[in-house]
Amino acid sequence: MSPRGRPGLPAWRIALYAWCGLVFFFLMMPLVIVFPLSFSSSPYLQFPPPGWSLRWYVAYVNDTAWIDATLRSVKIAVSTTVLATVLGTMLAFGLVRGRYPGKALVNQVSLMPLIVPGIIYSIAAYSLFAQVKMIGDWRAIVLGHAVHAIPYVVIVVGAALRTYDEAYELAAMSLGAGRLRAIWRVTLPQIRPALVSAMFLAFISSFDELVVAMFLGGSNMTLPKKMFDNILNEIDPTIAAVSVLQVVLVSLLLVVVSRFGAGAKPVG
Amino acid sequence: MGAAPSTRDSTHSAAPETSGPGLAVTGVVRRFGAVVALGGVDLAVRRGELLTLLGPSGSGKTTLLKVIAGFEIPDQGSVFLGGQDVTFAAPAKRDIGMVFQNYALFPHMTIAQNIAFPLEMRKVSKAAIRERVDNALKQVDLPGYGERLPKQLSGGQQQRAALARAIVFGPSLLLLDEPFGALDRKLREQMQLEVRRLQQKLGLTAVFVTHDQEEALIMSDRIAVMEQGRIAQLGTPQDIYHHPANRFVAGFMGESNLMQARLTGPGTASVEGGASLRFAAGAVGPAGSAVGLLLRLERPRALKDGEAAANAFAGSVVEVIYLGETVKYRIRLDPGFEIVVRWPYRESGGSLKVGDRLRVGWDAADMQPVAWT
Repeated sequence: MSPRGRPGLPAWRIALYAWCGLVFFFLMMPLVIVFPLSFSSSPYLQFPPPGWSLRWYVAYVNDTAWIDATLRSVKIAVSTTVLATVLGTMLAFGLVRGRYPGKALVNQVSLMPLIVPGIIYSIAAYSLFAQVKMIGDWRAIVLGHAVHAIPYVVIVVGAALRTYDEAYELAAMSLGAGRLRAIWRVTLPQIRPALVSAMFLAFISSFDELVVAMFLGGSNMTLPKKMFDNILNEIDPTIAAVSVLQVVLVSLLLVVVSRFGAGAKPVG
Repeated sequence: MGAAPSTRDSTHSAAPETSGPGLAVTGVVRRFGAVVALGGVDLAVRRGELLTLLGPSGSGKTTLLKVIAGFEIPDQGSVFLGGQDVTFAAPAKRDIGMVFQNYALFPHMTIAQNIAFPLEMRKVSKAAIRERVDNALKQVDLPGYGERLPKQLSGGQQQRAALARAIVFGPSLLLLDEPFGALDRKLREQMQLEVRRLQQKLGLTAVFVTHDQEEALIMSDRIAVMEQGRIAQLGTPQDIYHHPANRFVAGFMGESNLMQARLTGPGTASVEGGASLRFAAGAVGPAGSAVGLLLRLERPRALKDGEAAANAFAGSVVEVIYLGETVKYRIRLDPGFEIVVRWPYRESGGSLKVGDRLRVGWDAADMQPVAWT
């Protein structure tokens, strides 16, 4: 009872809180377990850890296979981000601003990669890249990932463009800027939050991706593929250390996104 | 950006032989599918003149502005700026300053950066840009506001900043697209006069778009009233207010009594109820044809006993609308038709009430014939 004599929380509220707590617990569970595991002194995935050490982080840093896979994944994710953001933004402009026959069809096709099951897409991509002898080439994975990432960019940037008042761009053009310069100097800075979010989604969609990388990577492993193999073959807490590092990297990116993705700021 | 495939006549007409027109539009047609937004518009704006495109929404005034600015390419006809054919020129190449409805100040740039933008596009040196931006800010009475962001300015200040950005590069034409719509009434009146003063001081050729007839009367050297993609009438504010070309223009230019009548002779016509009215003579058609008679609200006067007028009727007050300095009365005249008058409060007084009897009269010159079609 509160001092004002209000009655206690009704039962449905308590049930709601309990339910939310449960959902939160299930979402956080893996993190709660993985973090301590990565600092374990035990050579096995044992919970709770018998002692504490940084040995699995050391093992990760000293294993060139892990570092190779990490660098390759970052390289692929960054390239995918650039490619998907540029192409997806152009596509979004075409879908929002353009008036041409068959636009609805283009719209549906551009979102198709979200619907097609990953395994089917991967097999198709495999047979395509096998024909041009690009299996094992990191650039093949970039192309494969970019197709997957473009729909995210189209959706996020398209939504921003739809609510964007084109008068700004027209104003820039009347003031002496060509269409491209008007877009570069006036439109893109104003939809920057959407661009940053789109880039983040594109990066994550590539950095986390396993199936396409499995089919197209050949012996050149990405980080998810290396983790997958590690779980199959030689389970040890290195995988927990890598997971923690992955979570930290994505969290850092999120901080950057919320810093630069916020509203427009003056330039210069 | 065309909505529909359009066929365009390739015939290029020569620039009209006006004495150095700032802007000339000849035979401009623009269709959107089956809709004719502009149905053959001819217009010449003299150097240093402010011309207003006045019309209701859908009359084509905004489409015409877009054609002039270069955001729309006409299906037929040409646009000349300072004698040069710019029909197909990109907006950036036209040297036109434009103030948009919501100002369109770039929110991610400071006011100074906004005003510097057109100069930067023209590759003006940094030092010169600084000086001209300062100068422009002074001209619109915003000195010291350069480092602020647009959202930190009030509506009126944003309006001034947008104006500064549109004139800083010395454009050959200034376009104003309903720029006062977002301001409250008092500020709007102040800005109207300020914009007008600045336009005259700098000798700018300007085209102003509005749907507000009062604004058009205050601002313009000349007014083009637009109706359904055509110019219904082009003339000075006095012309258009006192001698509207047709029923549409008369109805659009402020409140008035517009009566349908039938011509009975030179300068006379009969209205509903059979009363014969005398109006300012002018060739309007043969006897028996329909004509509109326009009587502004402030023209009729209350007649004293024994006072005569070309049109004089007894009647009774049906409705009183108090407007502050003036009062509007709806009066039913005995022959069987109604007129509305607006009289100063002091003269007609709060004395008149519904049901009061009085005599009302006006001269033949107070009543203009207007084509009824």
